[in-house]
Amino acid sequence: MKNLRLKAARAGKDWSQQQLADAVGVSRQTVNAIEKGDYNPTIRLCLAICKALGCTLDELFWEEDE
Amino acid sequence: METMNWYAFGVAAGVLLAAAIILIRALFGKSTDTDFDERQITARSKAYKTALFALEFYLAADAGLTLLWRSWAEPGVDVLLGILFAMMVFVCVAIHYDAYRTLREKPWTNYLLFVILIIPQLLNFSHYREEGFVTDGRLNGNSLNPAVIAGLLIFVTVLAVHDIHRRREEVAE
Repeated sequence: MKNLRLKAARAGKDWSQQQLADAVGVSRQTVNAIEKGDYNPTIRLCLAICKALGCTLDELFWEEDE
Repeated sequence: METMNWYAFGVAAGVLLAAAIILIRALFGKSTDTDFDERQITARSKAYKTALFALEFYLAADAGLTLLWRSWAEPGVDVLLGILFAMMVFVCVAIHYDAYRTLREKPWTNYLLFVILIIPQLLNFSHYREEGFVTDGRLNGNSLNPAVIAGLLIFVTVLAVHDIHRRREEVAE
């Protein structure tokens, strides 16, 4: 499932995928894979992304009920 | 006897070169902490698994072909082809899933490495090509091995260039 909230939060800070990747210490492809829903990050990476974007885990990664 | 001397020389040269590279990296190399991230560990795992299955399939096919038909390659040639096949599967899967950062971050270093590896193989092939690929109805290694290795390396280079181009288009979207 695509993570559009992550994409929106990144866009809100006017960051490219590469900038977010550099901030959390992963490759740009990893950020792209997370946003496209092709990869489920570990909790450690989730926390690092939340810290970098100034958001909470719920805001970025909690799955919404269908 | 002379062939054995050259063979031993080749083995010794290869081992010394590998030892020198390891030593240089240990003394002067940067930390490898940022060489890959968690997703790339998973990608590498996929590449290793796929390559292992490919090798197992090849060995089964090789044994079956020899059993049902006859020995189709000189001793060692079939094994080397199997190893090259499994390595190629690994490299293709690793490139497709972006398992290694250096390919993308330092593409020209990798292209140069590929060219350095391809040229000796092509020279080796040109030296032995008059022998042909088949001797007494079996594949022989002298001309086949360098031709196969050069061909695979050229394929990997093309794949790597295509992948980097594909990633650049992805960034542009």
